[in-house]
Amino acid sequence: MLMSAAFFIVIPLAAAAVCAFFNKKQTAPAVLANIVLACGLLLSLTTFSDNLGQDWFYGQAVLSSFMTIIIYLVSSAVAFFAAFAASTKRRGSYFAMLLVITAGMAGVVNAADFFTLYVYLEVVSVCSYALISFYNRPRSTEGAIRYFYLSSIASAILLFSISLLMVYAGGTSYEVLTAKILATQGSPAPLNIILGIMALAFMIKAGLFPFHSWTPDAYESATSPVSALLAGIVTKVVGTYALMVVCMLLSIINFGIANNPVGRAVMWFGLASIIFGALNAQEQKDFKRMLAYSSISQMGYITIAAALATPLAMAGALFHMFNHATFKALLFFAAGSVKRATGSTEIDSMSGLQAKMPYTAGAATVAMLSTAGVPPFSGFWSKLFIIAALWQAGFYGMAAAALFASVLTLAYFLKLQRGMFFGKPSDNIKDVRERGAGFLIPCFVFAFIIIAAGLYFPFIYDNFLSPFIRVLQ
Amino acid sequence: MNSLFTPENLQFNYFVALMMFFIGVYTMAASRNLIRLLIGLEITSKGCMLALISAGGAAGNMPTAQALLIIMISVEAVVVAVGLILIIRAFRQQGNIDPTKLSGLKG
Repeated sequence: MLMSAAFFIVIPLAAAAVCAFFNKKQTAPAVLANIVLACGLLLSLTTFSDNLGQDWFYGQAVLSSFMTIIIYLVSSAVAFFAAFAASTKRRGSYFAMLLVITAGMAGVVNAADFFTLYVYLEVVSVCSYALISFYNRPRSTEGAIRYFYLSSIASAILLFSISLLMVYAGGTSYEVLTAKILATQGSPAPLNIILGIMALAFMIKAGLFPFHSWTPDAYESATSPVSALLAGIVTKVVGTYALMVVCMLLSIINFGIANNPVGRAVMWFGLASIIFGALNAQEQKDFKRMLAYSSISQMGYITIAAALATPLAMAGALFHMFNHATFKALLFFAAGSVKRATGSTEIDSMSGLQAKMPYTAGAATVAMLSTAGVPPFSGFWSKLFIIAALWQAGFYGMAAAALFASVLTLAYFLKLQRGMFFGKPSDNIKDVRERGAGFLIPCFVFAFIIIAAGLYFPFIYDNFLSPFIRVLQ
Repeated sequence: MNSLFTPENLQFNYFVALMMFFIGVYTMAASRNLIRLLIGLEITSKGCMLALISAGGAAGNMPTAQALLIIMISVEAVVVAVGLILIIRAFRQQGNIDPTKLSGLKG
């Protein structure tokens, strides 16, 4: 592990210990958490190019450094939002858990070993259960219990595959596994079985289609900053990032693992969740629940690209992970502002919010268009990468289905827009006013990132994606 | 003690571990009580622990496997504690711990 990687884990943990001492204070923990996470974001941006030297397998260093940036970006935005939105007497514990979850995620992406990955996954999961059920409401306890059982089953499956890995390769680190893979060219059957079981565990953690049942419950029942954190980054890191690692390890021998049975199966799971998530989101009556199903659908895009594992698809998956973190977090922030302003997130219960909350509505519209893949927003580029990679590899049907699901995305978000934001203001929101700057700044920052990354895509491509593609080729 | 985890015993150990894994999964699928679900989960993860230690013995890497096992046991303890807290909360809020009757979230 690199020196700066240790900083990303140790400093938030130390700050969390300090926060826990100021449990009843209102401002001190929030300020400390914000400073630590903002410094972490700056550090992750400045050390990006230094970290590219050490690879445990092809492309791992770029993937880890880029994921660290996304983690700190979302966590610092969530901490800023929570400083204004989280009204609780136990602020110290709240921000301490936010810091521990960030440290855990940084540990997951900087781990060089599957067992280390497991330990950090459990750190992240335990903090997620606590944060989901933080406010002691029956619904959130229930959401947390569902998440707890499914996630624990996934952990057990992961451990079983780690034990098989130990028999097969004699160790659990990526380095040992890569060496073993390179030494036994041509007989990948045991490897396919082991990494296939592992992929199953990570698909449960990512909330892909047949294993999705906990996702909407957990996202809906948690408070908005926590849902933004969960949907924006936690499920990406514990599920999709780990799935990408598995796919990249598999693709060391058979490059472009689409012809490998595991890769093929994961691609079908990804396609199923793209379509299922998009179709289910059409029927939802609640803003946050619709966002949760939309999350399942977007997760499918990342998975399908990760399982295809061509350099173009991998770059698309990585960039879509970044985009999903920004636009989904923005949408959950907007949902939080709406909930705080009107007391409800039911789509049918109000209309014409745009007249009352113009800035929130504008930022949410940017995020929705980016999710649907409308140019010039950043979501367009990542979806273009993914669909072009599918087409290039000869999966014409899947490419067409992914394109079609993108139209479905636009359909359900237009329905949401028309129901909630557009039109004449309904009577029950007469007294609603725009929320303060604390709610708006994170939304604006993310809206700016979405537009800027879309318009200045060559900059992103040259600095972040092309090193990745170069290593993979 | 060490003779239990030799490479020759690997298949038998894995058989027992898999049995424990599926007994745990069956317990989780069949019971209507969150505490029993948690017990099923524990049986499942104990099966995984047995698999891990026998894998270490078979790969000739016993010290590493023992270290991993100790870390795993402590992680399990934390997870079980959090799970029990959630179950106690659900019981206090709703008065029962039947997973099929927890019906606040639908659709």
